[in-house]
Amino acid sequence: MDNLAGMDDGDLPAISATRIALNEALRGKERVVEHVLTCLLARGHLLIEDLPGLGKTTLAKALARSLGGKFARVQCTPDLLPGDITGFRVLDPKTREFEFLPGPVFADVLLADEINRATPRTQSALLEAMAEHQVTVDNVRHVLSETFFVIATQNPVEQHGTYPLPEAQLDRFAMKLKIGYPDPKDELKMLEAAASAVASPLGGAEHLGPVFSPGQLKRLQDRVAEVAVGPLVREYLVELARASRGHRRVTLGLSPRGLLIWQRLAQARAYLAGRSFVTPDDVQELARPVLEVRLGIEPEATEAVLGEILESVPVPVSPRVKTA
Amino acid sequence: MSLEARIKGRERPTEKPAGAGPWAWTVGLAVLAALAIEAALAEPGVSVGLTILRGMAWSAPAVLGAIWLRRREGEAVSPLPMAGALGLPALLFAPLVIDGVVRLAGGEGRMLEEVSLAGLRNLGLGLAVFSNRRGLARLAVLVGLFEVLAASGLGEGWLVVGLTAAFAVAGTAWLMGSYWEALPSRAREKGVLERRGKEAWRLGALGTGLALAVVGALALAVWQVPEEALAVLAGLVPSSGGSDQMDEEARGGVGDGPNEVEGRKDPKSVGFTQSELYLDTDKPSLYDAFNDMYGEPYKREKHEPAQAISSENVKEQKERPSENLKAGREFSTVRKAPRASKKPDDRETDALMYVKGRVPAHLRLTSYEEYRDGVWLEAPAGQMNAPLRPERPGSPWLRVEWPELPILAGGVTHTLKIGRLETSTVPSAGLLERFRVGSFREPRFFGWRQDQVMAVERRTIPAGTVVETCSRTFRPAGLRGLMFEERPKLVPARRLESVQDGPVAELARRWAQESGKPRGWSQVEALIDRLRTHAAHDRCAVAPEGCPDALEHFLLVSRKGPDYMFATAAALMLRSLGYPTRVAGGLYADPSAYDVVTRQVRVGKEDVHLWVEVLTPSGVWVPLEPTPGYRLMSPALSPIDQIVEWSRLGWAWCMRLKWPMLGLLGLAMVVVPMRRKLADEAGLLFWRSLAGRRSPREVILGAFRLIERRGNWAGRSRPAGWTPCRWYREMMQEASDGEGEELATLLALVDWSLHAPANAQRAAADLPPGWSAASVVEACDRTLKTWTVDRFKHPSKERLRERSLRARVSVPQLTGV
Repeated sequence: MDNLAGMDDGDLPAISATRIALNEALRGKERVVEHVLTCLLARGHLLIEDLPGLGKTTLAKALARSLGGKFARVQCTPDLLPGDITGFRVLDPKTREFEFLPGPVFADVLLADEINRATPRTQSALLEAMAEHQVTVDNVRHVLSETFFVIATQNPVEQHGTYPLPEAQLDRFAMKLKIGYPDPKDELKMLEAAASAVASPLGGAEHLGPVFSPGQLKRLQDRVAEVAVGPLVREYLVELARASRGHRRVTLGLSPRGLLIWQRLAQARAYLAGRSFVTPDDVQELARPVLEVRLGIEPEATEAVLGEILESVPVPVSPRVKTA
Repeated sequence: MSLEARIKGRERPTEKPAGAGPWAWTVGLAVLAALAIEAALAEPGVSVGLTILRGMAWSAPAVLGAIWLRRREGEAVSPLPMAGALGLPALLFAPLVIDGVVRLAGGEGRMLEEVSLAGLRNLGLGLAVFSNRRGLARLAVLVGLFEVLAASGLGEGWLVVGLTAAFAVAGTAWLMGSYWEALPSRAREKGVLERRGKEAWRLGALGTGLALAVVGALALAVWQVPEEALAVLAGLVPSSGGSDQMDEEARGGVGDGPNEVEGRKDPKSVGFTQSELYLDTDKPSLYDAFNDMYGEPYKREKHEPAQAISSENVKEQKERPSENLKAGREFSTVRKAPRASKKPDDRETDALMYVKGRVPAHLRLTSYEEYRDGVWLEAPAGQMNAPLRPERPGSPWLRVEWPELPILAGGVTHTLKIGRLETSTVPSAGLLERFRVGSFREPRFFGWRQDQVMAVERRTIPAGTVVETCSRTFRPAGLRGLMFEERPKLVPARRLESVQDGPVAELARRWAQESGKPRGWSQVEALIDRLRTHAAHDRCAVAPEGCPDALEHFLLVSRKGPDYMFATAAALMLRSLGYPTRVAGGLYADPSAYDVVTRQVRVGKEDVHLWVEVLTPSGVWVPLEPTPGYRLMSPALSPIDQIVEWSRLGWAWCMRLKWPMLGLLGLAMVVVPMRRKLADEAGLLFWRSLAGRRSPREVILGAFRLIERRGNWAGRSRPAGWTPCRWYREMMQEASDGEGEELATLLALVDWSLHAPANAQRAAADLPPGWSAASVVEACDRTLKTWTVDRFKHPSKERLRERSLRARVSVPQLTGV
């Protein structure tokens, strides 16, 4: 029963190959990789927050190479301007006409490195792109790639000279991940692999080739939307959202947009697990990365508060559906 | 993909506990509330130290429990354990249940208010044990607040006031601290909230300490100032009596103006003032009360023999004595029905007497020994009595020197304030041992009016007089050891005269025979018990006029009547069996009239009562209560006697119901150890019987419910916020690889049943992909067979196998393994 009826045989190898590629690039972080894949299939954007040197950029690059699309990277600094991201119009001296030079957002995968170092003005330039897959420059709308995917990273330490992302911006991200240090065992393997490899600034991700055929990612993302979400799970999601809003230590509860994203992520996780329906396990598994990015909780209390929210809502184990 | 791979575990989140400040604070508040309850419930005269000691004794287990739980759980507060969830309601209802058991066992029981407050105190202290949980801590303080409010409403004295004030101050600080803690902090700096919370608690503790110190200093200052200054201060504060204020709703002396203080005007004031002023009022006598209560007796035609005498030997009396004041009074059992009262009773103003002390109490005022043609004649002056002496020279207390007898139990004290009753008798609730009547100090003021009925000589006890008595009660074990002669020769005939022949005597003999009791006190008790159930108490059910024998009519025809008919029937039936008896008349201090505020019982006209007394061979009259609805006062027994008595009553109760009890016991011995096994087998049988007829989803969920129940029984309940897979993951961690696949399959099926969309086109095809209906039932059945309660306790098969092997190889010489 674990086989999902109707799933193309050709899609499974692509997902597995991506999983393998990402696990190779980021050793010992299978759970993070699963979340990244979930986020990708749910058409969400990803915020990775962790200390320097833990593989944030490596992961983003490996994913971009696996997808096979156009990859762009923006190193965010305080002097970065919105036009540096969206693109701008320049006068072509030959034609005497203004020509639009597309910015890095016109890529399939955009890595916004250290996003909290950009000014709020520049950060907000990403808002439209992330939410609507389009940018407007000089009143002209430019449509982005259908599989446009933003991976932003930020450093939780070295807060001097940074601009914390506002709540509206944070809500555009589907989830926030923390990579964390690898296990000693994985670090040994990593050293062993690096000793024999040619030194590379990309962390050994160059040899990875694209595993998705053109249009395949879009097809997978469409397929995720077909995964069923039963009424019990929907009620469970709503109850969790209400619990997050009513919790005394949460200053900003889950928004309806966050709830929609959570449901879509749960669908993607069920799809990755080979199921045609979502279970409360999918919802709970994604609770931390989904809620951490958008709930107003003190950082040191996050674990306890999220635990309290999940514990406070009974998991549905009876088929009775509440009547309105 | 395996289930384990799909279930990525998260550590179980722990609840953030209440900090050390609020935790200790809550326990302190609960202790204060418990002390306030003790202070409010303490009987007058109990020392403050003893009250505080008792309160601390109640609180100590709660404090120790809270400390133990805090140390055990530390920072990781788990949900309320089952023992706590069940124990808290049990604590609340325990006093009620214990009181019920005491009453069933023949004990006296306590007031409902007292029992309720005790339950509330237990609940408050029980909640305080779990005060490291925020919700329960708040509930504990709320219960404590209610306790203190109730205590301040009920109790009096500086201790209650002081504890209430202390609770108010400490409670305010608790509220401040809780508010600080609950503030949602927008500050992102680490530790700001915690620091502020701790500071708030520290400030609260400091503030409370200061406030209490100020209050204490003020109290000390007031305590130490000269009397004159206090008098000036007291004049500024309105109080009962001192302010000359009168209140129509005065009760317990409060608002009764100067009368209460001085007792100069109105003897009906209910306070127990020790006034030396004696006031006469138009008081009713016991016989007026009898007439009001039972109706007037028929005027009997007198057929007295007459003899002519010469006129010089006759001296006419100018005025006829009042019917109810003439000498040689009698009590007729042939009476008219009582008239309905013209106006509703005013329970505050027409009390005959107020009683403080153990109730119910039969306050004997007179007795009747000779029964002639339906009329009880008042007993003559006493013969079998003891000498009366002052307790100490100059003391108003007088002591009757009875010999120490095995039938006598401890004494009970009563304080009686004479209200509207005109009587000379010193009311006593048993064998009168010590008493004082106002300031009558001389034994010569008193005399034995009848056997064991003490009275003031030649005058009545003035209204408003406070009479204090100490009467000995009777040991049931001692009474049961009495040997009664068939017809004692030394007993005057009037105490044994009865209807020897006829239906009443026949009935008495039949009842005695049917009781199966040997001659003695048990037989007396059996007859009285039989009479209590034989007829119903009805004050208005009198024999019709002209009825030749009212007693026969009562016992054999109507089987209902007033209490005097019960007393008469009991006395005459016992006499017919050879027991000397008399009928005693007086007042019944009814526990239902107990006033919680004034702690006294009002005895009114409706409380006049007649009962029967049996003369023991040692010459002591022992009261018995033949009228249903009335109870005898429980004896003041030593702890050992009390245990013996309860055991006897319990044993008698068990013997009375021995077959049902034995049946229940046997059934319980079989069912209780196997209750879960039986319930499980019944559930399994039910599930299997319906498996073929239900849809696959229902089959799967039915099996899951059985599995969850087994998990609960094994102590592995699934927390409500955990998914079944997450719940199972912990057990999987204990099991070796490859084990528990059956349960994993069932949980996957459960997920499908609950969350997979149904096949809208074909209901029959609503099955998990690749499964048939039969395979679903088979998989569920396999899981149910494998995952028994024992398996849940020890999830690894290998461990089970090891355990079983160890059990076998431990006795190799026997098995040869």
